[in-house]
Amino acid sequence: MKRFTVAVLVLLLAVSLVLSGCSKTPTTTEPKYKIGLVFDIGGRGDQSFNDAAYAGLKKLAQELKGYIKDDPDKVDFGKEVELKYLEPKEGGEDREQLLRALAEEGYQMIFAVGFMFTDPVVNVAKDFPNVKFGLIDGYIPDLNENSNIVCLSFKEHEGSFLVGAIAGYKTKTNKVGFVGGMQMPLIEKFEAGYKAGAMYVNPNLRKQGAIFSQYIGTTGDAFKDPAKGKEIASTFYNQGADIVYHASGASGAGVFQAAYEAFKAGKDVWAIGVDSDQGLIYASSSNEEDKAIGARIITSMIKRVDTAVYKTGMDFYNGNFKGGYVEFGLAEDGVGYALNDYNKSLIEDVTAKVDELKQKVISGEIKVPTSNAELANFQLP
Amino acid sequence: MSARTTAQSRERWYRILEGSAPVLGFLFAMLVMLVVVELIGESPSRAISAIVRFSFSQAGIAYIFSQAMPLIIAGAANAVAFQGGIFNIGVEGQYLFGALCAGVAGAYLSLPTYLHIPVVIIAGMLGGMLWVLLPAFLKVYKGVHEVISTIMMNQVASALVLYLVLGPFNGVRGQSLNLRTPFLKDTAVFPSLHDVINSITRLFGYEFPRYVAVDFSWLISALVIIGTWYLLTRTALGLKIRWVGQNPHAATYAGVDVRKTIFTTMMISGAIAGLVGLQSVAYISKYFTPNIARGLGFTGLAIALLARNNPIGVVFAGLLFSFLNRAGYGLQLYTRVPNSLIGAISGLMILSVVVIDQLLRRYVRNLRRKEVGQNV
Repeated sequence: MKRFTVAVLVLLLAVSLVLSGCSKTPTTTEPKYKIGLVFDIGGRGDQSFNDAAYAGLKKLAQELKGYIKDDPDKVDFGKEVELKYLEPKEGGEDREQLLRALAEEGYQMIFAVGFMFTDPVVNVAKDFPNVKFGLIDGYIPDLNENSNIVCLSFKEHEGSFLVGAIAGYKTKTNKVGFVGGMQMPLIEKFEAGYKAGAMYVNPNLRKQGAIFSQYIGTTGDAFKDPAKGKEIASTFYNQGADIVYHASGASGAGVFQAAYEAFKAGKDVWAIGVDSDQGLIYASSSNEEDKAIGARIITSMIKRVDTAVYKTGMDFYNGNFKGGYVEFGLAEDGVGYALNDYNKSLIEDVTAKVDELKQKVISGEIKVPTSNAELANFQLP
Repeated sequence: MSARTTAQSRERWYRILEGSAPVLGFLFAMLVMLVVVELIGESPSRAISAIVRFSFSQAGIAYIFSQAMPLIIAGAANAVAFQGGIFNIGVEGQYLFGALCAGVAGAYLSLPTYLHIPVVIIAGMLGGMLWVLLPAFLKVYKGVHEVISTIMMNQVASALVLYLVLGPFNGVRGQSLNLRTPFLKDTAVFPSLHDVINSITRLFGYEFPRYVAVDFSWLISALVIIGTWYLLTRTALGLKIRWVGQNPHAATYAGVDVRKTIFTTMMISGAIAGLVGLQSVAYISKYFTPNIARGLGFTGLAIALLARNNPIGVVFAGLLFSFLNRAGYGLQLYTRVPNSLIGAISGLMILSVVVIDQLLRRYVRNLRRKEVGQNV
């Protein structure tokens, strides 16, 4: 039996080798530059974090006359630059082998989307000193300008501070809510910033219990659980909150659904989106119900992952790549609140005041807390 | 005389049929994959060349072996339980908690290396055993079905681990957002086995690259496999476990303490499960994080099923699943197959391997039964 198995395996191998031999596709002209990207779990189509990174790639393709290899959307503006993305299935070693495969395939600049790539990037960057790496949301100590890694991080707390302020100004019930995805330091940045903003502009929200806050779950699945998101948001609306902010990836769809249903039941309630301009995405949909849901999204906290990918990619193309740290805050337009044709009339009355706050944050007059511990010592006016 | 030889040759034919089941399943799975690829509009030969090129390169082979280690251990944990008639869905939670215990033991204790590494390993095993303790008690004394209780314990493990790493065992310093325990002490980190393994494989002209994890967990996997094989086939306890698994009532009449045996089986399964996460904790990342690879326990179920709960078979099934993982990445890198479909394809492959295997085995069993009927 063993001999039989071995024979079959050998046969299989031989057949596949023959097949692989005759499948040489005619090679076209090689692109000048090759840029790769590895998504976080969830990948393309999450309408949030990963899709923002994809938008950055698309912008690069457009600007540099390049194409995205093997993309179903057939993004193709020329042959100057090749862009390619991959998506891991599991933990550490999977991420590392994808980064390594891209480096071995001759990609000269590689983006790793998400802090869970921190260790894999360190390991691979050591073995490929001539390849540049862009790590989004991660932090690697002791980098300098000559390193081949740049850490691209965001001041999510600053953007959340502004949407928190909008919530603080617009609430009529003097109760607002926050729905987080998986409980971890990254999402706490969103929570603390939001609470600080709401408390800063609205003294009624400084009372104990005026801001509801809850996390969806304890695993990465919390970022793709709309049912739980809806349940939590509905509870908040029933307890009297009229604005709920979510930082929960694809679970946010449930939060929006809850806002829409509470609205249909006669309540004047709103939701706030995250990462991408989610109000715009919903409102510009062709689906009638999505449009109606979009009308309930008062604004979104925008995290410009696309800008980070685009800027770093351009720098690399122009030969200006620098290792180290780049932080995208309010000052760099790396985070912010969404203002579009659909929500303009809703928040027009407060944008001047919010922009004033933005200037105060940029000038350093307001130091936005990054965790609940820092929030406790936050200086309120 | 001639009747005996035909019976013998028929028996040989059955054996071949049974033995070839996994291979046929694999071939069928490849066929299914190629059809799917064809339907997407990508050329099947390109897909095969992508898989071969990516999986059988130097790095490819190394990753397949390295990533098979946790799978093999998870498969063994499930196989032992299955042999004893226990459906341990809780391997998932057991390895999560075991990995946390190992990480904590490695980070907070100060011991010399020759003690610290064994302590880390034992901590992992104890963690796994602790996590199966409650379902085992419930099963033995209250008759609560282990499928329900262990799957619940998975949820509890996931929440508790997050709580503990957010709170008492938090090791995040500076600006890193990766939630984790403190780094393991140097004395607790698994030694690399590159030199040992490479000195053997060099004879065949192959070397494992340094960046792939070739570490102490390879030895642990080997010991787990040999240990479970020895336990199940060469000891009285193993015989009892298999008896209880096949027919608890008959085992009772044969004088086996069924409750005690079930309890022991679950504990052994839990202890093995506690070792699954060690490669990641004690060698690759050198800390425990709740973001550790999940789902290995469930893959272990499929591995045990495919291996017919045979510890030696688990090794090959584990390697096959590891290969499927790597093959999926090969498709992503070199072909137009969309990422979302690759998950579906590898799911289909697993399904067809397992289903074909089961169908063929049933077919052979029926043939045998018929033959027995004729002889009587």
